[in-house]
Amino acid sequence: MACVLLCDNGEATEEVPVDRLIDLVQGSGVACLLENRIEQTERLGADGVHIAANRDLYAQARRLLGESANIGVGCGLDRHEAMQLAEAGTDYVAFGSETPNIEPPNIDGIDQCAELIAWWSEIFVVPCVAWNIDNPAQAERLAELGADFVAPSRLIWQDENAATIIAEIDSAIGRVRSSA
Amino acid sequence: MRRILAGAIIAACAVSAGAPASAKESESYIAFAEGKYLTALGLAEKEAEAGSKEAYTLMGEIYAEGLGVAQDYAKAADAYAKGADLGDPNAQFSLGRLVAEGRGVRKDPEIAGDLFEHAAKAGNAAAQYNLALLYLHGSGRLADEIKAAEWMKKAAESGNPQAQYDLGAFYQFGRGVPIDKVKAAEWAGKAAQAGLAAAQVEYAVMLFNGHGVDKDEKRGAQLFRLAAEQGNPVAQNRLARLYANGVVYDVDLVQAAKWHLLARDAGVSDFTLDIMLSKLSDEQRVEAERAVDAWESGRLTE
Repeated sequence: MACVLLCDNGEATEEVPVDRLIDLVQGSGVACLLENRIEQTERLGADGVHIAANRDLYAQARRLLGESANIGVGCGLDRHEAMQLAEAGTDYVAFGSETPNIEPPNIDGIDQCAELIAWWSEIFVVPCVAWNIDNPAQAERLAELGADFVAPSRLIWQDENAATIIAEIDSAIGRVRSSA
Repeated sequence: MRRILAGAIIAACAVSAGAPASAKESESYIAFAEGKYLTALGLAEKEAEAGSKEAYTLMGEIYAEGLGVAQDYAKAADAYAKGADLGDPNAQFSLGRLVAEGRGVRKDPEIAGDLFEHAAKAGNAAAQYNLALLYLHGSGRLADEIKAAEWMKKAAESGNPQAQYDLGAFYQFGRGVPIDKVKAAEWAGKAAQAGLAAAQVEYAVMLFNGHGVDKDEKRGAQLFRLAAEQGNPVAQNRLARLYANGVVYDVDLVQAAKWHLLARDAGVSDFTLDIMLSKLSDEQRVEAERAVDAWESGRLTE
């Protein structure tokens, strides 16, 4: 696993548990990003932040966190925003529906995402992430099309076999990499 | 990252007595050094009967390791016990290990501590190190960080690299000694010099940050490389970052990818380097993978 994203539930959070979580993740040798909380990322020493596709927000995050931070943007299915933000210097762009749904999988959304990823990976150097993918078969398909990373959604934790599914997603991506 | 390393250091429990045949010129030790274990055992039995404590220790070693005979911890413990009673520090230490782990004898941390203490007082560095760990963990001894640090210091001064590294961590985090960044760097540096990969990484980080030692990025990079070549994945990622960012070395994305791929195979990821990796051209990627294969097969033939 490349990275763990701590999701933002929109409410004010106590910092101490977040700080401990970051330490735990980093302690196991994995990068830890926060969603949306730019100041907290800086204060608590997370590796970076995942934000919405907005150039002002990105500029603000980069200013505060510096060049070494990993700043990624969620672009939904918006090509234009993705291009502009990649040009501005984001470390990755994420494509996919912003509202996760496992059951039933949002196949329309995933098909559109697949098309975007195939197009992006042909043209751009900035890595792209397949966003909110909780299904190993879909992960494999998107990795084949050129997704550099696959991010499962927060809903994956509702499944009691979350760790197994994540491991399956990981090995699905691994199969694509090793056959490439 | 440094905090994590230190956690691992303190938990580490390396126990090594070193070669048993420490330049004893008896016939049994000479046979042992030549690999004639059965001959050595026969000779040692005779020498032991004649009162040689080192001969008992050698018998213990042969049974403990199963050299030329079936491995038998009970027989090993018995032989070590005789050597220990006669006052051989190596026997006291080795028996202490068996007692600490409950092999061939009943496990008893307190007695293990006594045995380590005897050997430690006679100057046995491995015993000093293990005694320090018992004090640190409160196993067989009441937990006492000051005593742990004292014994760790003796073991470090006797030249035990693991002890030097751990003592450095004691100074860095103020365990049993006042925090002293300069001494932390000094001891980490000694352990690094002795070739301990974890210490090379730790000391290299200090050299890059100028913590407790004058900043020296070039020397730090050399140490990352040494540890990376030894297969330490943290060092491999650090070296990869130097190549990726053009620090100390010229930017070389293929080298960066090579070292990062090796670290990733060893289970240590680095998101920034993963991002770098995903930006490589197909040609660069192939070249890096070839370099990984070459490195791995180079290690196999060593």
